[in-house]
Amino acid sequence: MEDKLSEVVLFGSWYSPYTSRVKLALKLKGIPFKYVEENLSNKSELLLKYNPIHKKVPVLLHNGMPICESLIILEYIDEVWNHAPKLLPEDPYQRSRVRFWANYTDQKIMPASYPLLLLKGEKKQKAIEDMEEMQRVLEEGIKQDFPEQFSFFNGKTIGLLDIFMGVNCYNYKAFHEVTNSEIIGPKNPKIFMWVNALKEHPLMKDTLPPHDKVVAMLKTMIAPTPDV
Amino acid sequence: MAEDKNNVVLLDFWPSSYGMRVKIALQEKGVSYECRQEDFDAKSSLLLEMNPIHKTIPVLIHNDKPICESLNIVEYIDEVWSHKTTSLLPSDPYKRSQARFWGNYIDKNVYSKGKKVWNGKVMEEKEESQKQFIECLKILEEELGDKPYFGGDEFGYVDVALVPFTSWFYTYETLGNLSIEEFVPKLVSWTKRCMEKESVAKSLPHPHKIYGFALEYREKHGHD
Repeated sequence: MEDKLSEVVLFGSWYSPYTSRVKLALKLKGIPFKYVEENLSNKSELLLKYNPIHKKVPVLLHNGMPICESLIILEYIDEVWNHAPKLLPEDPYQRSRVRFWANYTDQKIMPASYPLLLLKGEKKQKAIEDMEEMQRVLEEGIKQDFPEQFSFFNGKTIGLLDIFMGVNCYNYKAFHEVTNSEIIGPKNPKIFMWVNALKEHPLMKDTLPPHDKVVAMLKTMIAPTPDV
Repeated sequence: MAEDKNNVVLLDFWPSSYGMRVKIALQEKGVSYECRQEDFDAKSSLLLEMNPIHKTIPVLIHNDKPICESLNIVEYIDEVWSHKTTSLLPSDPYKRSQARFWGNYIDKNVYSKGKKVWNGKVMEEKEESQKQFIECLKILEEELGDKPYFGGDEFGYVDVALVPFTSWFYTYETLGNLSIEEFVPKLVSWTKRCMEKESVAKSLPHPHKIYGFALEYREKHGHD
């Protein structure tokens, strides 16, 4: 049997939701790992060596071999450590839906968060409306693709999509506070119920930064500290 | 289970490199399918029903269920028809992660940088667009190295992801005024090798047809 206790190292940043995704997946699977906190304004030589093309976190190093991009890393983890809990469903069609929503999160929702933080006045209002529309789309899509009455998209346990979307949604109150908006709420009941289930999940509580730290971090994005 | 041609429908737009990926994958697996062409100025109700969120092709409809986004579709085809021929994705998890990485890189770079080359409107930006596009191809050529295919000895996922864009090389060169072979000769050899495969030759339109499409597109969208 292959020795799966070979060294696993994660290069990341505490406030990066992409890094948190990988931490959650590793912890969920019970995989011991060494964590290296990167200073993103002064990236280490090792990070640049292991991710020369994108130069970003997270990077997972397994047996000295790097894997980049959070979705790719999570699929890798699920394949190598293929014991329960599984991150992805077995059915190919359901897997394609999970990947679809993971891509929607990264290509649409994540980029739309920045205008909400950075814009003011009418432009900000438009950004809020755009984000609310995406939440409506998500709500409808989730109802269709995950119709069973389970707490999480993956069923009774969290999986790839819960992790993918959860890292941002978990601290939605911090986002609301800083942007003075109300994106997640009872108007999208399925998402709201899912977020509330996430808030109770011990792994999410243990892994994700607390509300106050997230508020402080988001505020620096609005008024960044000057370069020294 | 008998494979009825109506079981598998592909919504496509013939010049789309993304659509070509799906055709190649289906051909590689010997899957029969019906191909329906979409008109971007008048999208069919089926497309809007099957991909209401993005309203884009390609969409694979298998047993009435839609799968969207070309590389997702390729993985789906590889998983569902896994009993047919060799896999497009490697079986080793690390190699799979690398294949997905390069698929993702191609998705993020080739189309957008290529479009600036053939459809760029601002003269001053032309040189920069060319440079970025060639840089991107050089990175891909470096990944290819001396292997016959990106997958190694066998044609695979990354080859499927990239080869459709080669039908656009003539367009990039003619409208962008550059020679791709001069910068990435190994990649051009790889292109010829891929074109010897029936699945690729049958799925890629002739480069001159693509060029005709690009000229019409430019005229329609206010180019000189």
